Amino acid sequence: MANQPALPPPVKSSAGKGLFVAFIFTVGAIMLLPTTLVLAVGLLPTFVATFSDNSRERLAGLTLGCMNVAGVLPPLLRLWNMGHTVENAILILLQPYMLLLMYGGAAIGFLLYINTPLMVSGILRRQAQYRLKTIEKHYAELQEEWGPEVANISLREQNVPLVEPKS
Amino acid sequence: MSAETTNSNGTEKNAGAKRTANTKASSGKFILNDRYEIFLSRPVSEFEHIYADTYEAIAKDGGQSYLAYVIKDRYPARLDVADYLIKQDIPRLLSIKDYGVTTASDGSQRLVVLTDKPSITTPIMSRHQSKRAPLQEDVIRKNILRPVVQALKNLHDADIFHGNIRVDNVFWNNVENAEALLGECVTSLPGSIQPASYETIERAMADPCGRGVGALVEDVYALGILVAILFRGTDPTAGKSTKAMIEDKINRGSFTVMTEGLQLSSNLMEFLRATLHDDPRARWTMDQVWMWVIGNHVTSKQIVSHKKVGRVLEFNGTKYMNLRLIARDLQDNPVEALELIESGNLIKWLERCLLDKVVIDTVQAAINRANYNNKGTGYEDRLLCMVSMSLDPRAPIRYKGLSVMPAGIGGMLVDAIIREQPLQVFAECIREKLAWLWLGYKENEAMDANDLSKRFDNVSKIILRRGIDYGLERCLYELLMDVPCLSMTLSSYYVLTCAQLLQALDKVGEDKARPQQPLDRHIASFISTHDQKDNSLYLILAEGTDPLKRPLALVTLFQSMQKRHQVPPLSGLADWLSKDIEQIAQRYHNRRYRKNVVKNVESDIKGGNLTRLLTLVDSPQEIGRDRSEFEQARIFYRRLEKEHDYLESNLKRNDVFGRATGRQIAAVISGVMGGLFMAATLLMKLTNSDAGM
Repeated sequence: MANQPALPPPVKSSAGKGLFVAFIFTVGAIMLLPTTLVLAVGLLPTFVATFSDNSRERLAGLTLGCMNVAGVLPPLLRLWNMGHTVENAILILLQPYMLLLMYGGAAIGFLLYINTPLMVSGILRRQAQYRLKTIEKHYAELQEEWGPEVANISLREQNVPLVEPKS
Repeated sequence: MSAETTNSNGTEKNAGAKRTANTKASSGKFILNDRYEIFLSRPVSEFEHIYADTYEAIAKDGGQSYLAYVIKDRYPARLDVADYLIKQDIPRLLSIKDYGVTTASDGSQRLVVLTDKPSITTPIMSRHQSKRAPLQEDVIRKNILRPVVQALKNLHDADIFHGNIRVDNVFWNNVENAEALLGECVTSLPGSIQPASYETIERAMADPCGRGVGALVEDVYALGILVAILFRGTDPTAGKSTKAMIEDKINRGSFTVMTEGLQLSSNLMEFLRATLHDDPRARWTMDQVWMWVIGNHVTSKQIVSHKKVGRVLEFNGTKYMNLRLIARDLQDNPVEALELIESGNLIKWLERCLLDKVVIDTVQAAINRANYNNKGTGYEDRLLCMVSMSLDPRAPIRYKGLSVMPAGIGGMLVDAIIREQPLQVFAECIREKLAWLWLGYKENEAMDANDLSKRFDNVSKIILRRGIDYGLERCLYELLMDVPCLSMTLSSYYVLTCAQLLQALDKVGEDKARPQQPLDRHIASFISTHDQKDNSLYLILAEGTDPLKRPLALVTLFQSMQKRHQVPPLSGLADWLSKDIEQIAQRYHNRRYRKNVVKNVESDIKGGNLTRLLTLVDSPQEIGRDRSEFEQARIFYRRLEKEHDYLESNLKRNDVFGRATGRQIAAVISGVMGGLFMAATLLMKLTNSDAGM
């Protein structure tokens, strides 16, 4: 028995942790049911964007979420001001102005998410094309000064580490 | 005629060895070493020979009269002997005053040897005379032999072979029957202008240019012939062919042939018998001759060396009873000779006739040696040569029609090159080590005084080596140091030293019809043998095809020689090398610098300083800087390439390029805007609450 290695210390499983968080979250949601109702309805575009985003960065939820949350904040403040009841929550949710505020924020976030990449891509493309022209100009200058040997194919193929030679 | 002169520009540091060209010719006149004027309009025919014309010359300062031998073509002269005779004045020998290379008005160069001019130029017997009044024994002894032998004794004391003792090269000084003066011996190859009758049997068998420097006792033989002819008043062999004369001398002995019918006193007979002995071991030395001249009794060695045999050998329709004759004539009918040897008939004949087993063993050894490669390439010629050599070891090497003494191979080769004759036979002769074998016979031991066998052993290796500075050309310069450079490029120039070589190349370089490069096998071999520095590495590289190393080696070779021999500017050679220099400039990667270098080279060519030109294209500092900057440029280029590739591939992915960045920016904007909106909402709420209170 003495030769047996010591057992590793017990590790709390992440599943257990998750369950614990879900339990706390569920209890909290039930306890704050009016707020939960407003958030559930108001943040619906964010949930949809988050779960339907297939991009590598998965930033649709965040982009929409930021504006959506900003739009949900005034209805929440009104709920908490009117009285934290389910009736008040339903009342607020039935008001078109409140819905416009919540979903308008999400819409702005959505517009940002759709249009900003297009704009940035256009700017970056122009920058890249300009840079390519500059590089080709450098090529010509280097070849004029050092001859075609400067574009040493073997060096390129051998993938020689690009270390500055010691002068 | 102007007497314009130029100072020497080509003086070598070790100028003691060779005089350099510092002469300029105006029409009809050569100027030698800025001190002597040679008048081409005043020939002196008594002294000229087939390799030199003779003219009157005067010293520019004192007006003293001299005789100038102008060597024809590029034939060599015995300049080592000339150097000795300039320093050492030998009484009763035509003294050598100076020598040097002169330049004619057409730019061609000639070697000129300047000698004293006898007051009355009277040869004892002109070469055009067939007979003269016989001289009395007393006159011969006192007026001719005493001064001539005295001069020869001095020469022999310095180990110098004269080789030009004959009636038309001994002069009466001032008046007939006064003391004689012995003529010069430096303006031709030894034996090359000597009639065969004055040569010993073996030397007479050799081609005149292939006789080479002989043993000192061969001068004694010529002296004996001279005396015999003067005593008779005519040459008894005159009118006979050389072959017939040799045959006669072999059969009857030189003494008998030369003295037949003469009434000789016992004293003179003793002299002639001893000097005309056909065996050099029995011949008197010059000291013994001198003792006889001054009246002392000299004893002669008694050596019987007849190779005459009792039985007749029939060969080529002739009956032979003498080994020397059969040895000589074997080559006349090679087919029959081969049959004679290979059938064993020659050995059988020798066994039946000769009691001397040594000769038979020597012949058998020669047959065996000739067969070293199992009758491979060149067997027949080698066999005939070796058997002939073993039958008559003192005779010249006879190989494929060549008849040459080992010491004369160099001279014979020079003659063949100048006459543009085939040279293959010389290469084979050296490769087969025939001279080395010849020197191995005990009969020829005396001929090896100048380490000839070592030299031939060396050249037999040189001829096998590949390289621009090896081969037959190198052998020539190794065997004959006084031969000028025989390159076709320098056909108009007489080049004896490296400094002269550079100057001649400079002149050739001025002509645009010059060869492609200033280096060929002759020039390379000449440099290898005459420059004190070992240039073999440069020569190997200069022969190669490497686009950088070849021109760099070539230019460095000539640059180092110019520096070492302190040769003044060589603009013609620089122009000749300009293409090579520009090719070296291609080593610089930086095109702008390269262009500048080429421009500087072009402007500096006229300066003719090869060191400066080489520094422009071969500066280690500039090369290092260029290389380092080029490496940096290459790395920069590579980085640009990577960036280019990256940007290009991104641009190709049109649908996603910049989208990720855009989304990130959108998220940030959304976050900032949302935050601001929330902050504003909360602030408004707080403000309203405060107002409500």
